[in-house]
Amino acid sequence: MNKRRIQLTVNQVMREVWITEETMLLDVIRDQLALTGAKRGCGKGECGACTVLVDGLPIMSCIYPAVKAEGRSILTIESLGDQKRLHPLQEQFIEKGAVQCGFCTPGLILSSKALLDKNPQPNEYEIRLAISGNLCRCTGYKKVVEAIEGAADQLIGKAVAINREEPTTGSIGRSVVRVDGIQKVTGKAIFAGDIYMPNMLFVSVLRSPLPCAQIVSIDCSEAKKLPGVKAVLTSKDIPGSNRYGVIVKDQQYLAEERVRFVSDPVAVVAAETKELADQALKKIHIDYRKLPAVFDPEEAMKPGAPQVHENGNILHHRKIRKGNIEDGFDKADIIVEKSFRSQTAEHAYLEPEAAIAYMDHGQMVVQCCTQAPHYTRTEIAEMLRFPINKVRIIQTTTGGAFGGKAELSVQPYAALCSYMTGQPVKYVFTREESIFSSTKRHAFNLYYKLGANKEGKLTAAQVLIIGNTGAYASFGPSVLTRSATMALGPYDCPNVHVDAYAIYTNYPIGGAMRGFGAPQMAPCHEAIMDEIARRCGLSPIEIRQKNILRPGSTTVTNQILKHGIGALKTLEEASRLGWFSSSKGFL
Amino acid sequence: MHWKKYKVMKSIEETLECLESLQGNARVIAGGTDLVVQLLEKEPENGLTLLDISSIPRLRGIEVVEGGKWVQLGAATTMAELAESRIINNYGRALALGASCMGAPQIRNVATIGGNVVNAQPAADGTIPLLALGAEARIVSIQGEKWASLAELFLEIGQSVVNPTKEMITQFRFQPTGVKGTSSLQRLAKRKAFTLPTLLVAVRVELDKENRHFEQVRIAAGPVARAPWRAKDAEDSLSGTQITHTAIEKAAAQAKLAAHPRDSLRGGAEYRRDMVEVLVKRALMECLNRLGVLTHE
Repeated sequence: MNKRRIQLTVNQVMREVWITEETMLLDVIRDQLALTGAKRGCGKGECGACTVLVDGLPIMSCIYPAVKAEGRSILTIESLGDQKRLHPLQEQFIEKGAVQCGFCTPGLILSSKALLDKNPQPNEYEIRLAISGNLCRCTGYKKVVEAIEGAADQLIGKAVAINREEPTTGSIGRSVVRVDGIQKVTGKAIFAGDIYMPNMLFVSVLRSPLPCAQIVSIDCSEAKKLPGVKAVLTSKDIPGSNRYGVIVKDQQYLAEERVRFVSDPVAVVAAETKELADQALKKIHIDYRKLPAVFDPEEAMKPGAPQVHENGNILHHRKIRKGNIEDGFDKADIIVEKSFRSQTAEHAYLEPEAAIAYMDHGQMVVQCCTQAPHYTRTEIAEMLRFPINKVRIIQTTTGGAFGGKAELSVQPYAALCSYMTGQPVKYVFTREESIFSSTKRHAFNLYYKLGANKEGKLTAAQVLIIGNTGAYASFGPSVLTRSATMALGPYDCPNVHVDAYAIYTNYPIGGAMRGFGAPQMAPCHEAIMDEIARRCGLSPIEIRQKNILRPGSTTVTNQILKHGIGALKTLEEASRLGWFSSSKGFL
Repeated sequence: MHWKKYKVMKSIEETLECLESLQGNARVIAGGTDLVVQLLEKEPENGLTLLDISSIPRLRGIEVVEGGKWVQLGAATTMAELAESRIINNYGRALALGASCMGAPQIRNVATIGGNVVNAQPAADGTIPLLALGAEARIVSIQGEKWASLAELFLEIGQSVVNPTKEMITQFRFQPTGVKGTSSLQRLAKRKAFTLPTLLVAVRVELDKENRHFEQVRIAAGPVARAPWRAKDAEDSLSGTQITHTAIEKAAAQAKLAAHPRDSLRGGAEYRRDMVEVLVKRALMECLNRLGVLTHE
């Protein structure tokens, strides 16, 4: 590819860089100038993590052709302040707790800087408008707005700089600076995608376009011939175990005979550039025989449904039986039956999954974003047939996870390719790949039947939960167990009957996500409590006061609670804040 | 390669010459906030040269010309510049509002009004207000140039009569709203940034000297058809009519009747139809409020 040289000013320094016709400004800044404070969150100009200032204006550098920047002045987060001398915005982001994972932080700070340069005393609306192009998944925006207001006051002299003297005695009982706060506001925090190594290769994975199919043949010969392609691997090339899974080992790194959902991996390529790796994928020929797929978990439970795995589609059935359910309904004056459906949800952490793997004195080292380094180590050791002490996982700064990074994603492929080529290998998901292949919050079908006496006290609860766990188990059994135990939320009921199923389908994989099976339950039991209240002529507060868990109550699993129960206090606080009076309280 | 060459153009003449010599293998690009993403998603297309016109000085800027007859703006003026322009806020307020809602700040700093129009999306935030303002576009090719009414530019979703491999829009112009006139923009969207509207309505109103009659009304909306759309029945029913609540309600109902939105991710057809009536009414009422006119029953 033809390269040409352009000049641009970056952080007040004139730089010469080599670009192709398609190079984006973000590539120049990150890959050539090693300024990795600007992040790639989506590659589509939709998230703001790549924000830099061009001639003072914030722009999305991931869709800004580098050639447009010729002769212009670029500012990145690295220009703002350093460890010793932070910019007021950086100080305030730390002070107000506006930094969590730190992936969106550089972009947010640069958008804020552009605002304050033009408008030194913005109001809240103007601030929110200025940062509306920067998505954050951890903190939200309230603390960011407070930080920008604080910085504005500091910059116009309305407030003094923050005095950050280290406490001479211990930190207990006092607010301390977030341990990685300074690195994150200065763009110095190193995420896995920010690590570059000499001779490193890039990975692309060929994924199934079909939800359910037999692999008839795989032909990699053409792909292997491409100059610069260092490895084209299929399941046969895995030295150790090709099975993994945090609870049930039902997943394959590279599919052997069958693919079970759209984006199931089949082959992996390591090449000198990402473009080359992508090109090689197109030269791999796979012959699939399409098989009937099933997407609805209730359909999948029926006899004769397509079988996702050999042992049937019921991955897990969690039963809870407490008291006597028939007695309970006999004692009920009111019975409310309702069914609900909840949808699949994507974590959408701002940082797409990323890993870099390399051999270091006979040890496989994988630096990656993760919530589960030990699990990752065990699986990679088994995959490579390494002793566990020859695999080292280093968790890099992790740009949001919310449960989604408790699973394996990029790590095994980077490790496998590095082992096979002997070179460092980097694998960073594109946003699309992240959304296609990562685990999701389970979609549930929920069937509730609750009985209560005239006074509004619950007498019986029968709950059926059908969770669509998708093509592989992941955390499905645990999530459905949590759902079963949380079926009644914070309410006490003597007679309970819960059946929770995790059902395999050819749908994206259900896994861990914030609340882990509990959030799906809340709208259901709360809506029914309101319905019972209406029928008993009670207020929403009263019905909950009658049924809420207290010291001495037993949970659905018959655990006797002794202390530390916040439900009643929460209810009282909601009541004090006017929940009932302002909205009539009903959901 | 998603394109073969990306050239930054210095002048209109250079651009036209390149278009001519590359014979359909070149196309005009401005901010690129849509086109770059679209091209990156496509299968690589060999041989395309992109001609970036966004920094040609003559294509930028906003001015009042011909003794106040026209507000004229360069096609490469960015959405951020429009949103902040005093001229636009004074004489074509709906356009400033529309431009301020488009995309996100980082997008508005790069995206241009010309690209917004040529892209021909039925609910483009710059196009709908320009249509309500009665704008014209200057289309230039190697053969010559002409002013065309914006209303005649659109063919289909994503398709305008401007052929980006042969022609370019260099300027837009519209007559400034007078002392008895103003414009309004009503935008319904699922969130405030990063999204196309569920429904967008722009209205321009000119009243008579006594504030008793509508002299001229233009109503544009999207996405309610396969191209940016004007509520002509509603416009006709108001022009020359006495300003009353009934007249406004009648016009809003007519707009709803004539609109044919479709179901999409951003909203259902039925809901959109109902909201056409609501937003047209709101837009008209806002114009009257700004002109200090109370409506009679």
